[in-house]
Amino acid sequence: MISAPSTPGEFNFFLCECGVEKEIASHAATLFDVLSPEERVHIMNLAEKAQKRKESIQTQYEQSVSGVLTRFDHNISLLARNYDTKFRINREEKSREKDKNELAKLEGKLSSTAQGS
Amino acid sequence: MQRHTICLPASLQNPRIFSFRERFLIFETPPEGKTAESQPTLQEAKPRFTQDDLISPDKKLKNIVDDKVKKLDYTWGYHSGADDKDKANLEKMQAWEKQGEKNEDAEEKKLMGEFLKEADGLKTKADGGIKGLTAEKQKDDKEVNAIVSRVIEEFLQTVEQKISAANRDAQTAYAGQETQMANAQSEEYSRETESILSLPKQQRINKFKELLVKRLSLETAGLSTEEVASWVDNTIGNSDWKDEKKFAEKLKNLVESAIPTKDEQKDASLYLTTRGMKDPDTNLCYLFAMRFEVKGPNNVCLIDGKTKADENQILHFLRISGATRFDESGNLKPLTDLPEATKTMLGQTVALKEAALMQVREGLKQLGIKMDKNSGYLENMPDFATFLGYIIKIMTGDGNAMNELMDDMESNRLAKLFGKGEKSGTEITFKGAGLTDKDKDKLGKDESKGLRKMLVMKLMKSNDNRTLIASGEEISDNKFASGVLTLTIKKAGEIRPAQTEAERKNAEILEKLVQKISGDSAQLTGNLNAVIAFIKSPEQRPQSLLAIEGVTKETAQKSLVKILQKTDLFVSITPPLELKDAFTKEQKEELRTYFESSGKSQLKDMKGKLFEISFDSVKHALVFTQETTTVEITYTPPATPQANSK
Repeated sequence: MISAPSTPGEFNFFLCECGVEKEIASHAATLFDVLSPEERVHIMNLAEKAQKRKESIQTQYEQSVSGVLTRFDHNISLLARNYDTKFRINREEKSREKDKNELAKLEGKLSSTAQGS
Repeated sequence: MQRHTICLPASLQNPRIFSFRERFLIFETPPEGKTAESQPTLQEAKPRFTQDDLISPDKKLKNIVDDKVKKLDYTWGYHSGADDKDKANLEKMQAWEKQGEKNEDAEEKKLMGEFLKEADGLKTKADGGIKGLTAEKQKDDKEVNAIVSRVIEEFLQTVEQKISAANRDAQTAYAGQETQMANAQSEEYSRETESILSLPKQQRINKFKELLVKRLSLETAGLSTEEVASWVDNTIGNSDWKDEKKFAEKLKNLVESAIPTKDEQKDASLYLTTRGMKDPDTNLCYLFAMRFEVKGPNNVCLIDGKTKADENQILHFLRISGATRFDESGNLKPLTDLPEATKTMLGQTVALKEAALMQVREGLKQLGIKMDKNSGYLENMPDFATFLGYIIKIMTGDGNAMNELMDDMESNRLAKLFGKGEKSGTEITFKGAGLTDKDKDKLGKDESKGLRKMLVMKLMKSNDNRTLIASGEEISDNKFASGVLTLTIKKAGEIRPAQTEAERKNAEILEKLVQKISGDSAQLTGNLNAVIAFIKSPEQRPQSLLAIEGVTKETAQKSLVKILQKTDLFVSITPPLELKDAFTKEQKEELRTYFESSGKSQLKDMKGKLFEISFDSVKHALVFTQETTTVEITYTPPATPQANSK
């Protein structure tokens, strides 16, 4: 429940905070003295209603952004995993090549040893 | 086979600190003590974005992705939020790196390049998506703000309208109250008058004296009743009271000089009621006694003279004419046969059709002054210009006539002349009266300049419906005539205070100019194509230049400069006066017609107040009437000047 503002400045500030156009908020503040407390509260309720609507928009916006980021996270994670696999395969191939070379070397050594003996 | 998992530590819950390495730390082996299945899944570890992050999502996302991409290299890194187990894993990883797996493999470099390219593509896509969402949100916010602003604005307007209506109601109620009070007072005055008239002569004189003292006391600020009584005695002298005629003269003189303040002396207006003028011998006394019945609602005539002498002249006309017509109630009979042309001549002020005008007419007849039945113009009138002003300034107090006039104004009858008025309660406001839409547009564009010429005229009924009031400023009864006169004859002009320093300066210049011209008109006749109107504010401050009439703007300006030079008042003018064509072609034609049709006038005796001009080979004259702060325009025929009989 909104309580009636005690000064025009407070009234103006509240309306501005709720996003009411400055000119209109200022106009309302100039009429502060001639507005009844009920009328002031009515105006503030209108402003607050708008503020709540904007909060709802904000929530919706956050959810949407979060969704985009989640998709981004997911996609880049998949991408990283995909490339990590490629790295691993590459390294395994290299490892196999290395093993193969080592094996060839060993075979060569073995052959020369056999020949020497 | 080793399984690759993505470890998303708890620290990643705070998106401010995560980096690519932290977020996508890839282990060759599962961390110790954890199986791949025990690691948090991507979904579970989804970062929760705070509101702060969402304030500038574009920027945030850019930072995140840039950071990721920047740090994406062969050195699988270290995350700041890692726990001991993570660190142990990291040590393993670092050991693995040390084994020679660093950035030396061409194939890995190529793969990394491809990865970065694809990662950048994903970032761009996400970036664009968020941008779109942000724009949409901002649009929605704006729309909501605009809607609520409009709703509040409408509500405020409703409140204002209610307040305005309440004020009007209060005003109306007040007006009604005032009228009632005025009626009551008038009745009291009437009873008083009747009782006075029924008294024996000496008692009647004494009663008049008493009444005079009483009324003067009431209306004289700053003087006590005793002071006023003493002053009356001293001024009139006891001996003079014996002779009623002498008394009348003395009383007349007394009233003339009785205005205590300078302002009142300057703007003295005599308010007369003709009610009760039954005895020609006592008319004068009675007139003056009734001067104080200004608040009475019926048949109150206002004579607003430029000077006291002028007003006395009117009174003289009335007195010697015996021009009194009364109905059975003692009220003046209304005029019913006023020629239409006369009404036109009188500036469409049909409200003037009533008794005061009839009186003047009768008075004129007595003086041998004729009024043309067709045109309504006065003939053989020595000071027509002055008298015309008087006629217009004589108002009667017929409330119905006021209503009729107001209705006429509203119903377009006079709209041609004044423009369509906007009626609100007892007021009608005319904006740009007498100007065509084209003119108004033209003037509107020049509003930023120092001299504006937008006429805003307000007509309203006085509280007691006695008078129609016209002015753009604080309104009083005696402003009406000058307002209408100015409007009717000039049909252009502005009544508003000087608002800028330049305007004030111009106004001061003009005031001096007017003064100079008024006192030295003979030197100033010449080829002047300018009509200068000048008005003062309620505080007697110069206001602004009303109109400069010229064949062209340039000629008007040149002429004015010429005048200024002739007056030796100003060699140069700073800031320069800005002149405009004050009248449209049609308006000029109307002015010309007016001048020509009122050519019977004589103005030479308007000493110090006449300034002749000529344009289009026709001579005109400007009359600067400083007392009433208005300018009247009239015409002196070049060939057949009228003899001045004054």
